[in-house]
Amino acid sequence: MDTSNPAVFVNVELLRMYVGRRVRAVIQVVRSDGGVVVGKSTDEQQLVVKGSPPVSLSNFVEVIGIADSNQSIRAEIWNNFGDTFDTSTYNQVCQLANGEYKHLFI
Amino acid sequence: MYNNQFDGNAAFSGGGFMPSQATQTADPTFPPAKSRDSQPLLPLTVKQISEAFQSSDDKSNFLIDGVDVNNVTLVGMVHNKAERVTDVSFVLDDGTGRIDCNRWVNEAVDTKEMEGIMDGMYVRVHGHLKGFQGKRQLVVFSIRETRVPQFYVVPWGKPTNTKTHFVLTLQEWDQGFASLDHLSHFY
Repeated sequence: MDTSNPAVFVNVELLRMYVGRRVRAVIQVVRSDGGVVVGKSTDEQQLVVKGSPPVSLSNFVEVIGIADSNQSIRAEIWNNFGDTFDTSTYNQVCQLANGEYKHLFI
Repeated sequence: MYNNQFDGNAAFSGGGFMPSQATQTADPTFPPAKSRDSQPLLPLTVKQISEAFQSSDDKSNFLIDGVDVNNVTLVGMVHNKAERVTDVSFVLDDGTGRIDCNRWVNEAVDTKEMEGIMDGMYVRVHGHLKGFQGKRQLVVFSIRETRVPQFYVVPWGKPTNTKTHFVLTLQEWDQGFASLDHLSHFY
């Protein structure tokens, strides 16, 4: 088993702590332009995702990849999460997974 | 230190949680059914499993915070699925780590269950933790695709003077109905 490369649950506020590291986030897609998707993270801030998005993106998308700046992720994996998603709870998970429950995750 | 309550569905009291119903399949390598059935299904992260204390060498006895861990449930993404004659192996990545998994395929129903599982898919697995040649592995006895992992945080059980139990709950929407499962931690 291997815990050397976890994907940290992040929103934009947390992303800056993990630049260069593997992260996961859920975004609400705002627009998609070629290899760049602009979205809103679960803490309501703009998050840019680069890479090769699937041909069709649902309203909410999970991306997993490397944080390459305070506001962008280079995604390796894109998962369509459908048209509805509970962003406030996911945001709380991000906070807890980086706070008091951090030892369960990373 | 309580977080938002999930709605009325999650009315946990008295320290119980609702494990998913595991699909029971006969596995000749398992210890007697009694020991497996009497164990609750503990939701854990791979990170937690990696840090569990192995209490004896010859059996697969793991302890997390003093709690016996045998049957576990995880949600993660499938990678490296490999089909062999009597079993199917894959790696499960739950975002906290990757664990080797093995699913014996003795009956047609087992084969069928595994046929629908593909690399890159999110799955819910129920399985038994096993130590093998120094590695921790999961012997999977139930696996199914989950749609969208959703997360909720609810207080679980009654706080005592020394411990407060919290669960990080993972709610899945699978074929139109929700089943609540949990990532749990005792501290």
